[in-house]
Parts: sequence; structure tokens; C-alpha cells
Amino acid sequence: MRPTNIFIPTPARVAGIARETPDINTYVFELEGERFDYLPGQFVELSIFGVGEAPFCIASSPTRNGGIECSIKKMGSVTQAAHRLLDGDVVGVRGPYGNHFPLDEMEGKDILFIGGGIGMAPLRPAIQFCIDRKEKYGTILILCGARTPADIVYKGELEEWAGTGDVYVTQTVDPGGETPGWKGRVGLVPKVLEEMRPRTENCCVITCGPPIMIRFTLEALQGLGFHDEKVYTTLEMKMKCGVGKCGRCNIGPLYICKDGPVFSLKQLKEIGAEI
Amino acid sequence: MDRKLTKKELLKLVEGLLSDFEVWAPAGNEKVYSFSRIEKPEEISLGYRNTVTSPKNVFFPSGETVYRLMEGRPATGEASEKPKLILGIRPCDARAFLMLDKVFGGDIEDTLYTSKRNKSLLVGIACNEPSSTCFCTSVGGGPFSTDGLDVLMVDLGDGSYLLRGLNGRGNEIISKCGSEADKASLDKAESLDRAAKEKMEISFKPPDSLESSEEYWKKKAMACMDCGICAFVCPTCHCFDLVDEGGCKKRIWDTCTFPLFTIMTSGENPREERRDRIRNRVYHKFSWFRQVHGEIACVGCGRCIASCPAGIDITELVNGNNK
Repeated sequence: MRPTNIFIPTPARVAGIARETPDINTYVFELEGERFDYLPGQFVELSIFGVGEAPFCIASSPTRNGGIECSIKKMGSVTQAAHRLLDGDVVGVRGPYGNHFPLDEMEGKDILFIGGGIGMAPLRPAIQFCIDRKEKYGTILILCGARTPADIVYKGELEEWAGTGDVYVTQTVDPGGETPGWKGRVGLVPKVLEEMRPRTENCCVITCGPPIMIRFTLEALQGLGFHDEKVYTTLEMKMKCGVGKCGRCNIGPLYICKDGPVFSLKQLKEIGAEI
Repeated sequence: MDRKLTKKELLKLVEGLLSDFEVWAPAGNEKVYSFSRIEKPEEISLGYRNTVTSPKNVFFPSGETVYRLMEGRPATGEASEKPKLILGIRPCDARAFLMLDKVFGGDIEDTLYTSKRNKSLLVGIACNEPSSTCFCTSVGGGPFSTDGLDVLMVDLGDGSYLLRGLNGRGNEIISKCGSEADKASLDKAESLDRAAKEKMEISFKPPDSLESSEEYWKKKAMACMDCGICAFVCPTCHCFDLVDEGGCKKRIWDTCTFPLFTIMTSGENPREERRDRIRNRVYHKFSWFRQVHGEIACVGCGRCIASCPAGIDITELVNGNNK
């Protein structure tokens, strides 16, 4: 039974820990009791009992039928405590919250995914979702950027995706971040994107990453001729309740936790969000 | 249904209510009145103008336990409480609960609030003497407004009270007390209503679009010292935080005017500037809440004006008074 009080999380057990980078781990959480349905783009409030609670995007696709996965970068008190979790430890999960990427509307189209650093986490469920239902989608392009090769998340999976038919993966690291033996590109994401010259026709874009990358990537996309309503990103704000009540994450009348976190560039311009 | 009660009969009514309800009412001395849980009818003071803090804490306490950790997992003891009754609530504060109902109710129900609010009764007292900071009539209310109330009491000034039942539940609790109100009492109540409206010192029509310039809000926010008292005393402010404390998850009041309210772990803070925080608070009440719920989230109780140590007046902020 799900608790009736919306702020009481469902206990979940750590069922797997993957070390992605020196400061990012991906955790698999198996919910005790009823599992919930969700779609790529939605997030959960994760409780480390006695420490605190923070929002994390669900980094795994519902098509994989596994537990809820979250990729967590060691930053503040909750994420540091998360990095001390061991297999079998119990955490709390509330959700799923927020809207999702309009992957249903994107059926029949090519999709360009552009991620930077931990920004690959919200893209991963969408990429998995599209690859698992590849017959419904056109060509999938993935541009993944990180500061250095060591900071790239989902390294093995990127190789796997690249080995799938009609899926093309480009990896890049920031100038100066390259190491001997690095076979990918060197250059900032927006620059590499411009060099890739992706076809805009019948193509949708989903991009997530640090604010500075998003700003220049959105600029580059517009320069390449992508329409605002075809470009999607997620917004990040401080959140507590996850359900549009605590007053933290609003931009104007919209609550990012409830009305977002996924917005098209068209919507972002309408609400006057700073990007 | 209109009943007329002497003070003695009113106390007797309260005595009866105490067995069925958890009764909250204004109590205190001449200087500070606040809503308290009442055990005996004599504790009630109805001679107040308005309490320093609003009664929102009855359904939305300033601090409450969401769950306790038992063996590392959340556990709740859902205590069945008596339904709550607020007696002597001002019409402005009653209207505020209709707004909080929209926030905490809706498609995702917040049962911490609704479990206390459901089955509650609001017995209001009309304002014969509005304060100098009151402006309920400018924001859709009135000193004798019945919005959100089950019963409205009017102090007739001669030691007696008119009690008006406003729905079935309201009628039920007053039906057996006092006597049927005579015409003179009804007329008296009507004239008190008119007189109270005339005594309102602040009157304005909230503009459809608020001042938006950065310069304006910078100037207006200059005096603010981020103390948060405006939100603390406000009957409609509902920002909160969820914190882990001593083996419990707690919900505590918070406010969008605090500088760290929106700071993210990355250090980024979308409302780092005070002008953006003040603007957010005023826009939320007078513009965005209106867009989403069709009404202004301010009931004109005037508490923020009376309490602000820097003398900031929300009606001036709203009216674009560019002094």
C-alpha cells in the first residue's frame, strides 16, 4: 500500500551501485511494495533517512523493467550521504513527479540527444526508451560531452548504443581535458554540435547539461535552424515538496516540479525563463 | 438561521462545543491576542481587533511531524483527533483558508493539511472596528464577509451577539441556543456592517498588471531586511521546508523572501537579489495566484503592514506608488 500522506516515501533497497566517474555513481533502487509507472523525464524525491531529501531524475527507462536508477553526483549533504550507501541499504523514494519528454509526439521522427556531464542522466531513460522501441523512431543521434574522458558517464552503454543500428554517438571532451589515447572529439558541446551540422528536417532535440552549456547549445540549435517547439530541455530549481506546494521552484506562475521539469524552447521563451 | 445570544448564552454554547470539537479561539491580553486551543469558555477574548499572527497554524502548524523513523523506516501514528473549530475568526482569515484549501487540496492532496481542515467548522466574528491597516474590501472581502464561514457572529454592542448560521452545519450548532433574532438586532447588524465599511482607511483597486521594472523593485526592496515577519503573520503565505530532525521528518514554515530559500547545491540561486524575492512574493499573491486560481491570494488583513519593522506596505508595492 502506498502511504496516503504524500510526503512519506516508499522504502527502497539499494540493489546495485555502478561507479560512473570519480564523483558520480548510479544506484539501482528496488521499491518495497508497489512499483510505480513513470515516463522518461520524470523525477523522484530521494530520502537518505536522517540526512535529508533531494530531487533526482529517474535515469532508467520504464521499458527496462528494472528498479529505479538514479545517477548521483557528490555535491551536498544528501548526495554525499548517498555516496556512502552500500548494497542493501534502505532509502526512501517519493514520486514519480513532474512531466516527461514528449516521446509519444516524437514517434516517426529523428531525435538528437545532447548531454553534458551529469546532464546525460535525464537523457538516458529517453535514449533507452527510444532504442527499446526503435521501430517507432527514426535516426538517433547522441552528442555526449564531458570535461575529461574520466568524467563521461555511462561509458559502456555509450559503446553499446553506438553499436545499435541507426544510432550514432559522438563523444567530446573540453579542450585541455583530453588524455593520451582519447579517440573522441575535443571541443565544447555547442561547437561540436555546429560542426556536426545535424539535419533539422523531421528532427527533435532533447538537451540537458550545465546551465552554461545549455545556453550556448540552445543558441547553436537556433543557428542551425531548429524550431523552438522541436527543442526540449529540463529546468533545474531548488525543490522540496515535488508537488507544487512548498513555493520554491516557481518561475512566474509555473512550478518546475509540477509543470516541468521538461520544457520546449518555445515555452521557455514564453515564460521568460533565464537561459 | 439568525439567533440572538447573550454573552452568557454564548459561553454556554462554547461549553457545549468543547465536547465535540477541538476549539481554537483568540485569547490573550489587551496587547497580544493569538489563536490558542481553548479548554474553558472563559479563556476566549472576543474584544480584539486582530490577532498578531493568523490562525493558519490550526491546520498548517509552524512545525509538525511528517513521519518518525522506526528502525530506519518511516512510521506514522495517525491519531484520530476531534474535528477542529475556530471560534472568533475574522472574515479575512476565513477567506484565507479558502485559498490555502486550493494550495493544499487540488489534484495532489496534502493530507497533513486536509486531515485537519476537513470536518472543521469556522465560527467567525464580524469586524465592527477595522484597524488602520485593514484593506479587506479592496481585495474582494469585507468586514462582514461570510466566505468560508459556517457561522458569523456579530457583536451587537449591547452585550448580546447575533449568530447567523450560513449552512447546515452552522445552523445545527446554533439552533438550540439563545432566541430567534428580532428585527431590531438584524437592523443593528446591518448598520454595523455599513459603518465598518465606511471606517476602512485603505481603499484601492489592485491593478491587473503590476510594476515589472527591476529599478522599481530594487527601490521598494531597499528597506527590507529579510526578516520574514510578513510571511510569518500572513494568513495565505504557505511556503514550507521539509527537514530531518532528531529521527523525524518535519515540515516547518519557510518564506520565499529568505535569501537561501532557492539556493541550489551547486551554489546557483535564481532569486539571490532581494528585489527578485520581494517581487516574487507580491507577484505570487497579486498576479500568479490570480492567473492559476482566479483570485488574489491576499485577504487584506493588514498584518504584514503592521508587523514590518522597515515599514514596507504591500498596498504601496501593489499600487506602483513610486515614492
